[in-house]
Amino acid sequence: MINSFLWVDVTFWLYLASCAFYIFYGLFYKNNTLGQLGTVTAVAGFITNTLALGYRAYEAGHAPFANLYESMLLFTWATVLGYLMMEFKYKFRIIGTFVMSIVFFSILTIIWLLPYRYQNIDPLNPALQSLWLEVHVTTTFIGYAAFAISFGISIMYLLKNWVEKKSSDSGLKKFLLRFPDLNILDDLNYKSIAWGFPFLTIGVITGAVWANYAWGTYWSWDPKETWSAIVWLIYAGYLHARVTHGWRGVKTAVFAIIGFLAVIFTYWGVSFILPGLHAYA
Amino acid sequence: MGEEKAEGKIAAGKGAWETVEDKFIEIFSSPKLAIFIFIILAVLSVFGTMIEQNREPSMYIAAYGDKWYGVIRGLGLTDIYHSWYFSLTLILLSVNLAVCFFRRLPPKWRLIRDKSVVMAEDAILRQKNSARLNHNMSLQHIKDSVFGLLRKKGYKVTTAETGSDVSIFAHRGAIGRIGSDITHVGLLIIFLGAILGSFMGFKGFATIFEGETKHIKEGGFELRVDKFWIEYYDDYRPKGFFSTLTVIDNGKDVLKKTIKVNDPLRYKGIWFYQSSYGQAWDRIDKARLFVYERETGKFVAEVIADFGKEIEVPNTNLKLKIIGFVADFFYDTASKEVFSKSIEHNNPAMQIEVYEKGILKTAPWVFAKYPEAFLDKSTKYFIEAAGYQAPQYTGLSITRDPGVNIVWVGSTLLTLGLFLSFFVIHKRIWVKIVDKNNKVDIYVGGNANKNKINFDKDFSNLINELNRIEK
Ligand code: HEM
Repeated sequence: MINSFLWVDVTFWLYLASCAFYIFYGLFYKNNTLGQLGTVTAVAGFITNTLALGYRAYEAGHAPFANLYESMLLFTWATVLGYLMMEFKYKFRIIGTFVMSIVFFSILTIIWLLPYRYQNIDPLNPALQSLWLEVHVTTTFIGYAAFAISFGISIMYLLKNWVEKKSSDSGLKKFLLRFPDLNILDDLNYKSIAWGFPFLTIGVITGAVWANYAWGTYWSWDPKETWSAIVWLIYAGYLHARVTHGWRGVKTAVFAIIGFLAVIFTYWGVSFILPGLHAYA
Repeated sequence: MGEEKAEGKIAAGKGAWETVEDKFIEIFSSPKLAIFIFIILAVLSVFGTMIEQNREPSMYIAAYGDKWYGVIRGLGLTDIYHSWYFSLTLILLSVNLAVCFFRRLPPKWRLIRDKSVVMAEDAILRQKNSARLNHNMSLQHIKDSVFGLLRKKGYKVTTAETGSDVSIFAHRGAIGRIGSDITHVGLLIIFLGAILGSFMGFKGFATIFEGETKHIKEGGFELRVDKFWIEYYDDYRPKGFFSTLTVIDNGKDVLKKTIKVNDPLRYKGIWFYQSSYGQAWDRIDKARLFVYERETGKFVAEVIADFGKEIEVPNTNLKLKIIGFVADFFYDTASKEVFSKSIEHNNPAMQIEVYEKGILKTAPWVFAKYPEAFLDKSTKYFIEAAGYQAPQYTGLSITRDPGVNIVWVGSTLLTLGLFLSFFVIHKRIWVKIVDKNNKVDIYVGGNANKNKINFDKDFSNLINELNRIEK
């Protein structure tokens, strides 16, 4: 039977394959075919990911953003989309090694680690029945995806920066030679955040509009809201450090990593550790 | 003499004030302070999410112990977002933003308006991107081609000519430079709206039974709840809560709307939100009662009794009358009174007067959940409360926030500013074409305030096209 779970499974294997191709491409062979296969499987995975979301929406009769399982599918979808756009524009396949690993771990998480009840298709509770919810979730996750990409790029930056200083001729160094220039990595990092920040901002604002319709206050300092604000402040700090203090390289890479860790906490940590209104996603 | 002295004093005082003012502006126009403030706000917010906010003292004592509760409370950590130091940090941020804005906008504005068309050849070649070409063509022809080319790429072009050369200045996306300022102003406007809302707005809550009318004193009108109901999905999970509300202003029904979660009623700036609901805890509309013979357990009759009204039980000489109801039965032995422990229907009980041949025999409490607790033996009958219907009330959040629209205006500006600042890039190009006896030298230079890799590409495309003009 064709249903959303089938498409999620297919997406899982495609992302696994894509991840593996990119890693082999980066690590072992000076072979472009592997890189191309990485791209092709990523595109295929993106298509089945789209179908999974579409079927899920069709089965549930509402936009598939009602729980963690569904929002993670949206996260992988937006991350792969963002990465493919970047690859198309700048042609640095090696970045796929890192971004597709993040994507693969995300989908692995929901298939194996998430308690089964999250996979259920739930009817929307009354507070979630709003068009603002859809805009809120979509924009927030585009923001998260951009930050995930910047996280991957920052790790690449730090690795490359670290190994370039050492003179040994290890295998790792050969791998890292494939990385784009440090300046380019730094610039791409900024570009990802320059996409992520406006979308996160729209996400926070549409969340506020929705809360105003649902609860009568646009800001109530519940932990999820507060953590979004913290994430927002961290990236505002990143932008100012960069633009007004000329911070570059290692410092901004570390900043971006901290930012994404805060995103993960906002998304998962708050749902499972802290109490609040956003129990579903 | 005296006058002179006084003047000197004033001058000195002014000087001191000016240094204070300078210092103030220096500190507050610094983006360093901004980053520092971001860090403080982030750290305080983390505290606010680690320690639950605005809970009852017992919860904190259970979690942290008596002594620590004192410390936490003393530091304002139980309501951190309304503590003086949190507010102070937000005020500092606003001052920082405002000073920054007024200090930085004027020079930036001048830069945007700046159209120094003429630039010396060597200055052009010193730009971030530059090139020097030559062509065997007339000055005028080259000028027209360059002009057309830049226009086609969306640049605003101005030219200045002398007898022997032409200077061209082209730029696009200048507005992007003030994107960050629009963002900063947007944020200030949001703060303004939030402050206005917290001083001039109010938040309230009301429970209103179906059919009841409530006076809304903040708006000077009445609100009637005509109906409340719940709709369910097939699996009995609630799908929606609905209240039909009517606004009565000056004695007239002026507005009727069925509200639900996410779809409030608005009237005269006051918003009514569907927020909760429940059943009355101190009265019912009617109840279904079963009557049995106690000895034999034989079923005698079923009656539907309205609250407070006597009803005859067929086949008997009994009359019953429900005179009291509590949702969560509690008997206070001290005062010998019955009342409802909570508003939850945990242990619903009704008091029923039993008349035999018109004479009041007894008035026992009958428990809906525990029928066997009916121990009254004044008659030969056993009464069971098989069901009841209590009036429903709807719980409405009532708010007025005159700042909310200002917050939305600020949010829009903030977002708009972000897009301008990140995606609208100020690109500037200077061209000088110098006539060399039917040949021309062309100097091209340019820069972009952002996304330099992209501009490098743009620029080399431009140079390629300029090279190809001849053909
Ligand atoms: C939460 C508060 C703030 C937010 C969200 C914010 C946001 C931004 C953004 C998005 C940019 C553009 C960055 C870029 O072009 O990459 C920017 C630039 C800038 N911000 Fe802020 N800002 C905030 C507070 C402040 C404060 C308090 C100051 C006061 C000094 C300040 C000073 C600056 C300066 C000087 C720039 C330089 C860029 C330019 O002049 O175009 N910001 N800000």
